[in-house]
Amino acid sequence: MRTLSDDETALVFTKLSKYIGSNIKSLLDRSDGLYCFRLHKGRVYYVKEDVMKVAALLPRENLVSMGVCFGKITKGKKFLLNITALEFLSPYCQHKVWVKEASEQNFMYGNHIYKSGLFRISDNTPKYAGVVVYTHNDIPMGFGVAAKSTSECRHANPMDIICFHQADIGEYIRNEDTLV
Amino acid sequence: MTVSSASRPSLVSHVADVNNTNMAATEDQLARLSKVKDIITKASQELKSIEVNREIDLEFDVGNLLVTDKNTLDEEAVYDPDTRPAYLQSLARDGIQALMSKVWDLPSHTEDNAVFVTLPKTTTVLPREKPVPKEKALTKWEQFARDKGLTKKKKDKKVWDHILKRWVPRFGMKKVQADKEKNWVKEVPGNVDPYEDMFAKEKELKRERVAKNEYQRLRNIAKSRKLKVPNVGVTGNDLATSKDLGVAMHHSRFATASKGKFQPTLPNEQVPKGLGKKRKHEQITGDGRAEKKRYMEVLKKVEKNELNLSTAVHKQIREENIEADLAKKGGKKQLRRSKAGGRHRTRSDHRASKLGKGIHESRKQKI
Repeated sequence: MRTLSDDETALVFTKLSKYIGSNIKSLLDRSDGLYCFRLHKGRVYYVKEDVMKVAALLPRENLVSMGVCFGKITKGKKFLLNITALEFLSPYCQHKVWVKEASEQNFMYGNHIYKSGLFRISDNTPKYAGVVVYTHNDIPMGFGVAAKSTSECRHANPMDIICFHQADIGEYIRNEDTLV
Repeated sequence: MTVSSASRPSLVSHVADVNNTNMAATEDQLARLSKVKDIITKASQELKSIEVNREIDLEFDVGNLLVTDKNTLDEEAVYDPDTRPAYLQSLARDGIQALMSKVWDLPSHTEDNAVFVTLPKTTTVLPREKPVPKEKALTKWEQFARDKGLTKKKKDKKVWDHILKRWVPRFGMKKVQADKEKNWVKEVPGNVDPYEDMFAKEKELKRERVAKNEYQRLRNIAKSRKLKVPNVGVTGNDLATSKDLGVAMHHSRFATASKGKFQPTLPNEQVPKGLGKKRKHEQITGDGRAEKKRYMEVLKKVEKNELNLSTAVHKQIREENIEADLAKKGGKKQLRRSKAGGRHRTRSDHRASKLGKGIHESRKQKI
């Protein structure tokens, strides 16, 4: 377990800002305590400081996880967001996509969202912005990248992809072994 | 304190003689004699004694001008604050007196009307001023010799050379000359290039050996002074592993003014990874507030980079909207005529005019 270097922190924050924009401050400025980011086995964990101090006592091989795993930093210095970060992204995210009931399962199996499955999309979503995908009942289902901006979506064909799949809650079952 | 008889022998004995011989002295003579005696005793008492007698003898270290008095103190005199200063001063005075008499006993010589005396060697053992010097570390060869149990064998200066049939020095100019005599011809083996200069090759090898020895000598010096010396890339090493060669390459890159940061790579050159200074990370359980501050600073930087991106994106959106509006068939839907004489403008018209495109064609007043 170690702290993130400045470069790595910048990497994580740029990725997060694609989804939650300037609301990263609310992740850091929390009323219920000091939260921090820690790297453990290549994975970035968002954890309360008291918990982190206890976890620091454990030997490296025996520590599996602490706090919430936001994602992992690859060898090529890229930060990949994990589905486990969803509960922190969904309340703060700026651009949302709602999906029809019929294509909910399709998305949860790891497929992209087509225009035919699109229910709603938030206004002024720029192209290639990070979006959180919701069911029609406003339950966060995963997140992705908007393939088309809101205005483009209106003129899109039914078989056009409007949202690239990044992570979905079906991964909890599919990737059970490799999640953390 | 006893009155010293040695210092003034003559006067007292004279008085004694006078007393013994002249029995029938007049009253005046007696009075005068007693007066003289008083004066003498008073004077000698005033001058005080040169001799110092103690129960335990004083210890002297004349070289350090040190006198040690190990006698027990008179407790009554010491505890009473009235008598204490005088008592202690008398002790000190006696000690110094004894020391000075010792100093005067030493052989002296006069120079320029000043008396000089050479102090003897000091006898008190003072503690070390500096720590004990560390033993010199053995060089690699010395360590090896000690481990193997090699002893230094005395070598003769001259060696019998059975080819030249004479005594040749082991080293030096005469040795080199003798070698030249011996090796006036060199056999060329079959597998060697016939046009190669064997003598030059031999010279080159000798130079390499000398350089290697010099390098090893300097390395020993560096090792003893705890300096770091790269052990690859300095002498040509044919048996170096790829890792060693990587280290040598790293050293050659690093040894620039900017520590290899702007060093261009050759085509197909792979910069070895994992060498150089290891970066240090912050403490895991350090100050939480300081860490938060660092996050905020990083966030500020990130936002600065992102900000430009978002304005560009918004601009793009605006442009896209206008394009979409303009491209729609029939233009904008007709709005009711306004009181201002038909100069009602739509949102895209405003945007378009802002971008310098002017209002939509269909909206322009036809003259």
